[in-house]
Amino acid sequence: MRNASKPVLTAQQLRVLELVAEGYDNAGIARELRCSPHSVKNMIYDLMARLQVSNRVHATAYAIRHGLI
Amino acid sequence: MDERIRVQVVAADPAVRVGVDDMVRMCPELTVAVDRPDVVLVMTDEVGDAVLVLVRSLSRAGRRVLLVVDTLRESDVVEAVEAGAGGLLRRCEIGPDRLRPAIRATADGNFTVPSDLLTGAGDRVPERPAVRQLTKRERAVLLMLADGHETEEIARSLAYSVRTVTGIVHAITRRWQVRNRAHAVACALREGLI
Repeated sequence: MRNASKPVLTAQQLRVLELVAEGYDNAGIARELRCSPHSVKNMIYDLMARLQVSNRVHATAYAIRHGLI
Repeated sequence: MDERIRVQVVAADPAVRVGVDDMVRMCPELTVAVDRPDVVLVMTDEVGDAVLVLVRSLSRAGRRVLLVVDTLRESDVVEAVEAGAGGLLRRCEIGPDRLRPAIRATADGNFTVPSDLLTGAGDRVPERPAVRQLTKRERAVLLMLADGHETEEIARSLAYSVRTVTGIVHAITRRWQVRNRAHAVACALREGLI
């Protein structure tokens, strides 16, 4: 685990990750958060970069393993 | 243009094959073909290793396989799906009225399974929702997914075909009734299975 900079996610990004962990696709997340699928995609790209993970499944696993969600 | 579904029948017993060939021919929208079949109908007495090997190699070759089995247990469904079977039927169920829609569904890529096995699986879920289990290879695949690996990488690393990996993931999501691989990985982690 990296400890130099613990990744910080916004509340919105954490909510996105929770929904991904519940099996929602981008369209479902967009409906749930009342935003466009496009911004969901951007949020996921952004949180993937912050967590330094390679895809959404990885991001979900990282968040659960590190107690973020 | 011939739009009939091309069906190849595979059976260890030639008499069985001929009988099923005849049944296929009775359906106007089906035709018997050994070359480039749309659906391969595999007749077997049980879902054993030899049959699973056959199903695996057919599905790797891109064939849609409908398994017709004498004795079919619920655990067979999981193994057959993992091997790449596109559907399962009990042999006692295959009159033309049942065979035709099952072949059509398999050709279209829709999974067919005897309804009692599905109902059985559905009935038990509310009773013991927390019991989730993984085979060794399912666990290996989920672990790699959780570490961010893509299907192709997992296949390479575990020496499976891409289809096998997809089949394993599919078997888990069906059995656990979860929506997709992220959902499956999240459940596995939260329940301490990986």
